Amino acid sequence: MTDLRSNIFYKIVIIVTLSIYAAYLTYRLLYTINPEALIFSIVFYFAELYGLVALFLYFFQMWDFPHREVNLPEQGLRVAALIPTYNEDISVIRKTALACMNMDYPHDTYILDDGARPRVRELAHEIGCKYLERQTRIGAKAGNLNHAIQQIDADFFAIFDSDYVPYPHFLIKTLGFFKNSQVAFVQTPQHYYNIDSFTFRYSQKKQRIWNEQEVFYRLMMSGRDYWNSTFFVGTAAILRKEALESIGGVATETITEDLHTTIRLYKKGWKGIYHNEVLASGLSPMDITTYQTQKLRWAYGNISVIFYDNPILAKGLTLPQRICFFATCFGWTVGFSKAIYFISPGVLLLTGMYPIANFDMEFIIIYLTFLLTVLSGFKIASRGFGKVFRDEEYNMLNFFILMRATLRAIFRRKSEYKVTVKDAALPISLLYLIPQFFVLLTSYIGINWGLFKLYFHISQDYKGLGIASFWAFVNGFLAFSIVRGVTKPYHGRRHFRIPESLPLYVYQGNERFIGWTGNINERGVSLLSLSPLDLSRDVKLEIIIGTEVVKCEGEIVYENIRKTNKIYSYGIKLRNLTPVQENIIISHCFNVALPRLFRNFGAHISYLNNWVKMLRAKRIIKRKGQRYFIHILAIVRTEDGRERPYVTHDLSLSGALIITYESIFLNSSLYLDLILPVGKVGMQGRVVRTEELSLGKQTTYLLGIKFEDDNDISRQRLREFLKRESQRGYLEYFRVS
Amino acid sequence: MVRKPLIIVASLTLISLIVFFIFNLAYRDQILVNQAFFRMVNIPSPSLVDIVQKSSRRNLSKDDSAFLYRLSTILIRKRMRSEAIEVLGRALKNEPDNPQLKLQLATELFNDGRYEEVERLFNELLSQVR
Repeated sequence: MTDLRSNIFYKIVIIVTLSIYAAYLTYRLLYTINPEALIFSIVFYFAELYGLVALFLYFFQMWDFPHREVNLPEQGLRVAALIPTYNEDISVIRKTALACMNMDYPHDTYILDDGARPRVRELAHEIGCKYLERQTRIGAKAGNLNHAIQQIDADFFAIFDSDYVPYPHFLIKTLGFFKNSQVAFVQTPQHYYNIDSFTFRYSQKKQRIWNEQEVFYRLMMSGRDYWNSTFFVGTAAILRKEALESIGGVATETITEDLHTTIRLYKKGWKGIYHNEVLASGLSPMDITTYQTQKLRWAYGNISVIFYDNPILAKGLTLPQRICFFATCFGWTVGFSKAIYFISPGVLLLTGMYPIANFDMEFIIIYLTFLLTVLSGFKIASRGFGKVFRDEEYNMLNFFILMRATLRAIFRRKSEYKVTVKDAALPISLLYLIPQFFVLLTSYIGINWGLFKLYFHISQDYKGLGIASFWAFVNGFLAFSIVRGVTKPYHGRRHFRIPESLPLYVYQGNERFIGWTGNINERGVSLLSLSPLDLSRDVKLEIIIGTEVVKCEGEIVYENIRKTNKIYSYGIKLRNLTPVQENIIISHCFNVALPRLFRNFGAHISYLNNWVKMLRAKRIIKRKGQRYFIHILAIVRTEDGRERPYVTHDLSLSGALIITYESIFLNSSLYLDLILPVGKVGMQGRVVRTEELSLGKQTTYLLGIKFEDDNDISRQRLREFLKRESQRGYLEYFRVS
Repeated sequence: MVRKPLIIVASLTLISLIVFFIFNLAYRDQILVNQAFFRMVNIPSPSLVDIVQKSSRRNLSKDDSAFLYRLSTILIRKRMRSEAIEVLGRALKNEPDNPQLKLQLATELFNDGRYEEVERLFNELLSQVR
C-alpha cells in the first residue's frame, strides 16, 4: 500500500510555489501586457492564469493524506461481485470472472450481460458463477448495474469492469471499512497491467514503469480522501446497497455515472473511502482510437456533470468537497490553455507578434525564477509520481480531444456511451493525430522562419527569436515524441503476456532441456533456452509455477536467436491446457508476477525528493556493489540434498537474489549451478537475507545469497559473463515481437 | 529500419526548402536591401524607387526600423537624398526614440539645407543623451 506522508515541509513548498506564481502573474499584468498585440497578449495571459488555478486545485488535492488502517471485515456480510459486460471478448471476461470467484471473502459472482450472449451464459455456467441478462440496454452500464442491484439480495456490491482482474484479498482489504455505517463506498486505484500499451513508459535499465494515470490514482485520489472527496470510478470498488438505494441507484443521466453517483452520495451525507493499494488490474487502451474514445467520454461526462448536479452550488457538500469536484470538472478543460502554449511560439516566430511587452533581460530572469520554482514545487509535492516531461507529452496527446469535449459539453451535444475496446488493438488512425502533426509542423516552420530572419538580418532580436525557437523546439519535440510513441507498431499478440521468469523443462522427442520463460499467459509463453529446438516438431513443457507443475503441449510459433550470446528464444503456443491449469497460470500471473513486477518497477522517489530528504537528514542507504537485473536459470541444491530450479532476480559477482516459493533458512549453505551460455558456473553460497512477499494467495520469498566460493575460474567466468551481458539485458522483459 | 529516419529527414528538408522559398518571396525587398548594405551589391535606381514606394504602402513592424535605416543608407550612397529623407522620416515615426535614425536624418537634412529641422533633431538627441 502506498504510504504518503504529508508534513509541514510539503505544505510550505506548496504555499511558496503558489505565492510565487501569483506574484509572477501580478507582475505580468502590471508590466508586460503588450498593447501592440493586445488580443494575443491577453489570451496568453489567460492561459497562464488558468495554469495558476489548475496548480492551486492540484495542490489542494494533495494538501494532506489520511492514514487508514485496514481492518478485517465482520463475518456474515452478504457480498456480490458484479461484472457488467456488453460486447467484450469472452477470454477477457473469463479472467475477471475466475479472479472474482477466487476472492477470499464468501460472496457470489455475477456476470451482468447487456448483450444477452449465449457464449457468456455458457462461460458463467462453466466457471460456476451466476448470470444475469437484460432485454433492454437503457442507461448503458449504469442501467445494467441498477437492474442487477434490484434483483440481487446482497448488502455490498463489488464492481469490476470486464477486464479488471481483482486480487484474492480484494474483499478482505476493503470490507472492513464498512464498519463505519456512514461509508457508502470504498474505491481502490484503477491500475493497468498491459505495460506495452502506449499509455505506459518503461525503462528496464532504470527499473521504472510510469503510467499516465499514476499521479491521479496514487496521489490525488488519496489527497481527495483527506477531504472526503474521493469518488467512485466505475470499477475496482465496493459499494453499500443501502447507500445506492438512498439516491435511487446509480446515476444514469450522464455517461460518467460513477462521478455523478458519488456527488449524489455525498449530498446525502454519505462518506467515501479511498484505499490506496492496488487490488485489481485492468487493460489500458492499446491504440489511439480506443484511447481517444475513452478520453472523450470521460472528459465530456465529467464536465457535463456541472449541468446536471453542479457541485459548486450543490447543497449538502462541504467547501473542500465543492473545490475538489470543481477541480474534477475544471481539470478536463485544460485543452484550451495547452493549445495556446503549443501554438504561441509558432505565431510569434511567423508574425513577429510578442505576447509579452518589455521582453528584456529583467523579464527573462523573473520568468526563469518563476518557472524553476513552479517545476521544483510540482516535483517535490508530487513525491516522485509527477513527471513533468511525461505529463506534458500526454497533454500534447490530449489537448485537442479535451477541447472537443469541452465544447461538446458546453453546447450540450449528446454523447453516447461507447464501450472501450479491451481485447485487441485497432488499426492506428492518423486522423486522430492531426492536431499533433499541426503543432509539429507549425513549430518546425516557425523555427525555420525565425532562423531565416536572423540569418538574413531581417530581425536583430536574437533574444526573443532565440527563446521562441527553443520553445517551439520543445513543443515540436513533445509532439514528435508522443506521435512516435503512439504509432509504434503494436505487437502481433492479442493477449498481453505478463513478464515472468519461471523455470521449465522442455521435452522434444527423446531430448530434455531446461529453460525459463520470458513472459507467460494462459495461451502462450516466451521460452528462453541455451539449446536450440527443432522448429518442425511440437514440444512438451513442464512449467514450474511456485509449488505447482503445469504439464502441457506447445507449438513453436516463432524463433528469435540472439546470435551474440547464444540464447534461443521461442514463442510457444500452449495447447490442451485443462481449466485447472489455466487457472494456475492466470492466478500466478495476476496474484504473484504482476504485483511483484510493479513492486520492483513502481514509482521511485525523484532525485529532487532524494535531495530534499538528505537536507532533512534522512539516511539514504545505497547498495554496495553493482547488481544487474539479469534472469539466469539456477539449479539450487540445499543442505538436505534437494535440487530445485529457480530463476535469479538479480546477480552480481558477490551474490544473487533468487525468487523461491518455499522458505530456506537464514545462514543455510547451498550450492548454485548458474546455467550460462558458456556453461554451468557452480558457486557455493550462504543465505544472508530472506524476505517474505505475501502477494496474492501465494507467498514468495526473496533469498539473498552471498557467494563464498574461492574458485577463481568460476568467478572469472561469472565476471566475464556479467561484463558482456549487463548492458544488453539478458532477459527482454518487454519484448513486443 | 534506415528508411524511416531518411524519410523524416527528407520530409523536413523539403519543408525547409518550401519555407525558404516562401520566406524569400515575403521578404524579397528586405533581403535585397541587406545584400546591398552588407555586401555592396548594386540595386538599380528604379528598383530602389519601387522598394521605397512599396515600403510606404505597408504597415511597419519593429523590425522594419533597421530595414529602413539600411535602405536610407543605400539611397544616400546613390545620392537619392529626398527619398532617403522620406524613408528616414517614416522610420522615425515607427521608432521615435532611435538615436541612429535621428542622427542619419539630421545629417541628410543638414546636407539639404533644412537647418531648423536639424536643430530640433539635435536638441532631441542631446536631451536623450543627458
